Amino acid sequence: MEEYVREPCPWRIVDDCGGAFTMGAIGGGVFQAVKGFRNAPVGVRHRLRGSANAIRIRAPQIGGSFAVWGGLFSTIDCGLVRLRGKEDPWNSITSGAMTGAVLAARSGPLAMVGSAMVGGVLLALIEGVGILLTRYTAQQFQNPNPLVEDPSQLPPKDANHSHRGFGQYQ
Amino acid sequence: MVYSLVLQQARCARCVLHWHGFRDSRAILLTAGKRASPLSHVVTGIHSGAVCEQRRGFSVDFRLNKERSKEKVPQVSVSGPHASPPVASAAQKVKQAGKDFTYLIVVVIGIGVTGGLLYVVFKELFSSSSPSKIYGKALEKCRAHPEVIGAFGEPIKGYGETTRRGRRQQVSHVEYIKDGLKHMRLKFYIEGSEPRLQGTVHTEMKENPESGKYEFRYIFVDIDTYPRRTIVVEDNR
Repeated sequence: MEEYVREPCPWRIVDDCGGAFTMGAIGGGVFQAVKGFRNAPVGVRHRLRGSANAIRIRAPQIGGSFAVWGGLFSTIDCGLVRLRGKEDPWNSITSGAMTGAVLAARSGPLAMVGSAMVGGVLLALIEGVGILLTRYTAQQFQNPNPLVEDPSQLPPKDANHSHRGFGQYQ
Repeated sequence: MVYSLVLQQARCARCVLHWHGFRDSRAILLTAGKRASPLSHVVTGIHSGAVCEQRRGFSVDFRLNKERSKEKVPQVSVSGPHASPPVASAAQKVKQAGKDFTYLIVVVIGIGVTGGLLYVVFKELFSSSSPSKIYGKALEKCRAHPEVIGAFGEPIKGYGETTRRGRRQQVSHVEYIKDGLKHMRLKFYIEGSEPRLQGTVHTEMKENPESGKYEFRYIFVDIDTYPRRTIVVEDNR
């Protein structure tokens, strides 16, 4: 908690960009290694060399396109947070869709719509995983039973007194 | 794009040439002779100009290899359905059925997981008793409250718990049942234009027994920095 006093937002863009690049480079590297291995001519040396070649050529590209995606996504996300003044799952779903649309902008409106839908659904799925994860971990960490009873003592008035008013001070 | 395509094909074609050098170069030449004319048409149809003229041989080889490998794979596994359709032995049938079934299971599991996730998301986003919806409503009420505005400054923004990755869109909540009615407590944070002023909003919802909807029991804002005080936004207890 203590280290999060700073606003995450503008810095998160760089963070996401780098994270996406790493993810793309590593994942794409593994994928391309297998692909290069299988596409190479027979012989272990050839195959290893083909695999290394494929990684060398393709993995940075894949990482780069992931980084573009992540950076744009995070930028739009931060913009939405700024605009709406609220952080909720809608932000990331909308920004996923908008990122898809923007990145497909050069191939026409139809492709934009399709790619926007793909982006939105993808981000919705990720969001769902996040919701499930937080729910699961929250259930593990806090046991709700002790704090059920008292209706928290911070608003200093008691129930059943029926004077409801605004502007309590201390 | 065309450039990269041609490059890739050329790369593959080199591998193919190697490969044929090792293996059955006669066969590929035969097939090439048989198929060269339609394929070259296709190729010229796809690319155009001098690049195509230069690279045509590569492209043809590449495609041929693809086609051959495609033809070869089913021949191994299904043993030539074109040649003699009815003679698929029982063992092969079982094998094929098992394969199909495995794929079916994989597909069904995938669809199930996706559907479940989408269900969770939609429930979270649209059902009126979900934490994020309640959070939205409570935030609206806080924004409309004059004292909160006075304390925090005008554009008030709300956020939930910070995760490790700098996301703050999950609000922490507890659901419990008291006297047979569902209650939900929710906690989120607000900030205004005043610097270094952060507030924690606590709210509790209670299910209305008649309509089954959630209603606010109370909403109050704790100011977390030094002149600590509590602003009660709503109290229906």
